[in-house]
Amino acid sequence: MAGAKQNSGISAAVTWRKTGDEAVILNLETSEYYSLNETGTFIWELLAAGKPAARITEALSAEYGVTADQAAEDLADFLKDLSKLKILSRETAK
Amino acid sequence: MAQRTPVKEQFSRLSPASRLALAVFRVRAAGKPAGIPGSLFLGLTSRCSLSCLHCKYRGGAGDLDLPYPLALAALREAAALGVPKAVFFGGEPLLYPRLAELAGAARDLGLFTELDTNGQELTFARARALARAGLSSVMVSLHSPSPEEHDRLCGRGTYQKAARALAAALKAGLVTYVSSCVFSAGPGERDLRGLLAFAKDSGAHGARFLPYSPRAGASRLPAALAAALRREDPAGFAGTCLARGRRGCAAQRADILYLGPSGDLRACPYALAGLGSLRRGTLAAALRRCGRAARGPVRPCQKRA
Repeated sequence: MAGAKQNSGISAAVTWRKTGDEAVILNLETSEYYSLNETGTFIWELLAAGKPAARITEALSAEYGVTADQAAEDLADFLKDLSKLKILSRETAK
Repeated sequence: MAQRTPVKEQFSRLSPASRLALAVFRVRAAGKPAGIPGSLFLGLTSRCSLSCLHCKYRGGAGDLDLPYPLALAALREAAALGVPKAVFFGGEPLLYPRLAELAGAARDLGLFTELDTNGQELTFARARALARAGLSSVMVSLHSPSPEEHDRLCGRGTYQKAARALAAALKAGLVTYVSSCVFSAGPGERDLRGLLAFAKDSGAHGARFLPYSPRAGASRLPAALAAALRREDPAGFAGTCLARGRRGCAAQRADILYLGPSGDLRACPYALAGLGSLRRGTLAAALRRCGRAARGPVRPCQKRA
C-alpha cells in the first residue's frame, strides 16, 4: 500500500496503489475510490512524492511534449478535481 | 482522468489494506479484457484435515501438492492476461506449506486473493499473518446454520471451529464470506434462510452457495437455487455460480479457470472435462479450449460419475 509524503497536500484519509499503469485511490473516510489513467497516474506519483507544482509542470511538459503553459493548465484542472473530491487537504498548486 | 465508484457500507469495517485491495480488484475486474476469466482457482493440495460426506476428495485423492514453481507460473501468467483474482483452493489450502509466500507473490502481481477454507486451522494469529503476507479475503465453509447438521456432514466439532475462523478472519480485517454447499433448494430453503441470517449476523461481507448434486448428469438444482436466492435475498448479499441476470454458470461462461494439484486445468473445480495441463501448456491455451467446451450442455457441479 503506497502512502504519501506529509507535505504532498494529499489527505491523510487517502490510500492508493499502482496497478500496471493505473493508480487506484481510495478515500477511507468516504469509501469512494477512483482510478487514474496514465497521465493522471504520472502526476499523482509526483504529487505523492511531495514534488512542488512547478516541478510537476516541468515533468509533465517534458514527458508529454506539451508547452509549459498547457502543462500548468492541465495540472491546475487536475488538482481542482482532486480538491473537489476531498483527496487533497490543501491547495498545492501554488 | 478520474473515475468515481462507491463501495458498499458494509465494507467500511474492513482494514484499510483490505479495502484498498478490494478497490483495486473492482477496477481491474471492470477493465478486464473480454474472454479472460474473473478468477483463477489454484487447487494447492488434495490433502485435507476433514473427510466431509459430500467432498470429491473423500476416500482418498492421495497427498498431492501443486509444485510451488507451477503455482507461481500460473499466477504470473494470470496477472499478465488480466485475470483480477486468484482463489487458493484445495483440499484444504491452509495445509499448503508456502501459502503465505504465494499470497505475497499474488499481491505483488496485483491480484486480489481469496482463501477457500474449511476453517479448522484458521486461528486469529494465522489469519492476521496471512493478511499481512498479502491475502485479501477468506471464504469459510459452513454448510448449515445447525451445528449438528454441519457436524454430521463434516465431523464432530467442525462447526464451532468454522464459526471461530469466520470471527478470526473478520477480526484480522479480511473480506470474509460464508460458503455453503446446498443439497436441495426445496426442503433446503429453511437452511438457506438460516444460513443467510447466520452470515449476516456474523458480520460476514457476503455468502456463496454452491449447488451440489450427487448424481452425474444435468441437474435442476443450480437454477432452483438461483431462483430461491432471488426470492430470499433480493439485495444480493449471497451469490451462486449462476450469476443473477446472466446465462449459464461461471464455468460455462468461462469466468473461472481451475488449476488442480497435478497441474490439470478445468473450467471449475467440479468440471468433468479437462482443458489440458499447465505442465505441458499455458493458461491461455486452456482458455481457448474453455471457450469451446463451455458451449456444451453439461453442468460441471456434479460428483464424478
